[in-house]
Amino acid sequence: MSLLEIHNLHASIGGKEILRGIDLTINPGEIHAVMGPNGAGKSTLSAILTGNPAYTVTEGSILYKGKDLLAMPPEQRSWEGIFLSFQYPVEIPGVSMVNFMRTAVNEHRKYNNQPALSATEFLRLMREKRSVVQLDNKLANRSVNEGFSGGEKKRNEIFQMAMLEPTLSILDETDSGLDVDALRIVSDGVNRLKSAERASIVITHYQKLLEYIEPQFVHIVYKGRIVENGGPELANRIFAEGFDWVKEKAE
Amino acid sequence: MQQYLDLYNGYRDLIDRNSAPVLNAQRAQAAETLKQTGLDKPMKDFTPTDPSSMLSTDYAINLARHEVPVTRSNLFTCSVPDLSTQVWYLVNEQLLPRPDDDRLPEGVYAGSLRDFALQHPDLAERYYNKLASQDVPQCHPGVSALNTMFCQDGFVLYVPDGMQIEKPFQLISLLRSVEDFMAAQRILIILGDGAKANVLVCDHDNELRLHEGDALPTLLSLQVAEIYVGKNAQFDYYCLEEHHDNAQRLSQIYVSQCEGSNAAIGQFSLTAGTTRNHVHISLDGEHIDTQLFGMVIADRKQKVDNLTFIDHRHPNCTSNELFKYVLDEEAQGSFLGRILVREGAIGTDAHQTDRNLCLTPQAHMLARPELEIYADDVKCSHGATVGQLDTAALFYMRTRGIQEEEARMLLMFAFMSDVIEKIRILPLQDRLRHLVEKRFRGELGTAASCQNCG
Ligand SMILES: Nc1ncnc2c1ncn2[C@@H]1O[C@H](COP(=O)(O)OP(=O)(O)OP(=O)(O)O)[C@@H](O)[C@H]1O
Ligand SMILES: [Mg+2]
Repeated sequence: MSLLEIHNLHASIGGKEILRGIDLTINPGEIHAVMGPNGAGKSTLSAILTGNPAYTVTEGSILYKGKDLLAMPPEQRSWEGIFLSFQYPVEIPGVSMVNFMRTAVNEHRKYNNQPALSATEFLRLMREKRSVVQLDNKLANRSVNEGFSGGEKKRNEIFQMAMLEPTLSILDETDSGLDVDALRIVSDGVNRLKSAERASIVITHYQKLLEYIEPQFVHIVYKGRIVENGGPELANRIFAEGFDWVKEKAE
Repeated sequence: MQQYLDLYNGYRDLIDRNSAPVLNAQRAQAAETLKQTGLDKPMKDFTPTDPSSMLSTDYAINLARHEVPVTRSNLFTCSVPDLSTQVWYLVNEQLLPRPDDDRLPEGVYAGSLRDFALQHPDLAERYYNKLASQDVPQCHPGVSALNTMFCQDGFVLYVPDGMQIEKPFQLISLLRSVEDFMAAQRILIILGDGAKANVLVCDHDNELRLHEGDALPTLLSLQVAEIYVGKNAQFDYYCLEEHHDNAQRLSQIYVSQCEGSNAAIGQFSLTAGTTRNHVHISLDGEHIDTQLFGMVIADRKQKVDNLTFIDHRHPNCTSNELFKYVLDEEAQGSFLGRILVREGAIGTDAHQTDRNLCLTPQAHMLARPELEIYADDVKCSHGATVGQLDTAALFYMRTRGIQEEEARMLLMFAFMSDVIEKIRILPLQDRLRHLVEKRFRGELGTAASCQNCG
């Protein structure tokens, strides 16, 4: 069974149609890169997959592990293993990283009929995963993303991913704004989660991340549709020639 | 209003007999003030509450001083773990006697206002009803006058010069009646030069019915507090309100701070029926520090107003004011905060912040900050906002598996955290954190008493 099956997905925001018929199938173990010019609808797709209430799905369906994903609230999608590394992570003043993560982890455990982690167990887990992405302890003691630099925010997204160990991870431009070392750390974090059961969708504009993460499939989104499908060679053509040929072909 | 004047005229002797000469001496003038000012609020006051309508109920008043059938031992304890307090109970307007074994340091007086006025008439005379009889902005002279007319007893704390008391005084006020009832509660606090003390006032009520199925009575706490903070003295005053929907609170706090003193005044309305708080702080010297703050958490049809006034009369004083409201369902609230920096009050540092969340379109908040500056070389700021919970933050949390309700809770709690951090007694901070969390989870204000606190 496929992990994710998107059929003819149409979605809009504020009455404006953004996605205009997306079809995409992802199987366990696969890594898919999604590319496309600014404003094509890539982040919109990730918002729909995670259930952002600001968007309306007007047509189409999404099956995740054979279940109707669109019927699930965002929190349940998370418990079922979907994770989004946000293009623009949100600052939450007054809510500490520790409190935030402990609540999240324990809600996941509750869903899976596991007992809540004790304070010491939780802190041990936190320490372990923090070292994976080399997230400074100072950041872990602050409010969620508050006053984090752009790169620190992205690193924090991967830290949260490491904590929650999702089945389907969606990385929305996690590589933009990262220095070379951070990019390597973030890619390592993603590669560590690689397994036969898991899958990833990687949205990016840059070649470097794809060199580290090595997707098997590449999709080009333009004006709310997937207009090209291919393998790594498709990404290379985009890096070499840009999107003009895609646009011309699509129009 | 007329019913109160009639009651006063009809029972003048009875009222006096149960009180003390110093208190009695103030009544006639108070009655005159009430007659002249009435209880209506000013024309352009658009706050949701109104003293005249809060006082329009035909309340019983316990003028004969019938004892309420409760003793200390069968009252709940409003326990604040890790915070050992010296507890007094005010049941309606009556202060319950305290066991003698709780000794206070030499020279400190804490207890009955009536006894204080009988034992120390000169001191009582010097301080009683001096602040409350003034007609000052953001306070209602008629409301204080009404209290003065009927006040027979109350709570006094007197701390002589140089005496520093770390252990907080806790006054647990409890309204109990099976009929509509008004309690004229009076608090007088006097701190000498260089003195230090903390007072925590907890307002509660019992929901009592004579017969099952009876409508609940309306209970009104008419509370007037006069606070004198001596030179270089340090004083903290925290009011924690946990009232049921049928309770009303009409409170006026008058503070006079002397040179070099430092005061923190906190008002926390965790649950309320209808509440109108007035605070007037007069900075009567140089180098004074004032921290005024409060929070309101209201839902259903609860109404809470805070009217505050900080009067910078002398140079080089600092005041910081922070109020936050979370209004849910059909709750209404208002914050009217005025700061006056008088001519000559150079070097003033005055800041005011008011932030509010309205969780539903039906919840309504009126925020009116006012800053009047007549001095040069001052640092002043004020800001007020009314908004909703951050939907982006809510969604972000939900994508991590935090349920919507829990995510809202965390955000509301985070919103209140800086107000809690203003409390200068750490165990009380912890206590309030716990209570605020319970309140947001809907676990407060449902049981019949302060057992909630436990
Ligand atoms: N609230 C909104 N109202 C109207 N249009 C919106 C709204 N939010 C997003 N859009 C539009 O939706 C389109 C798709 O945006 P989206 O963020 O999905 O693009 P993207 O492919 O992720 O682009 P980028 O590469 O720049 O991140 C854009 O044209 C954007 O302007
Ligand atoms: Mg995007």
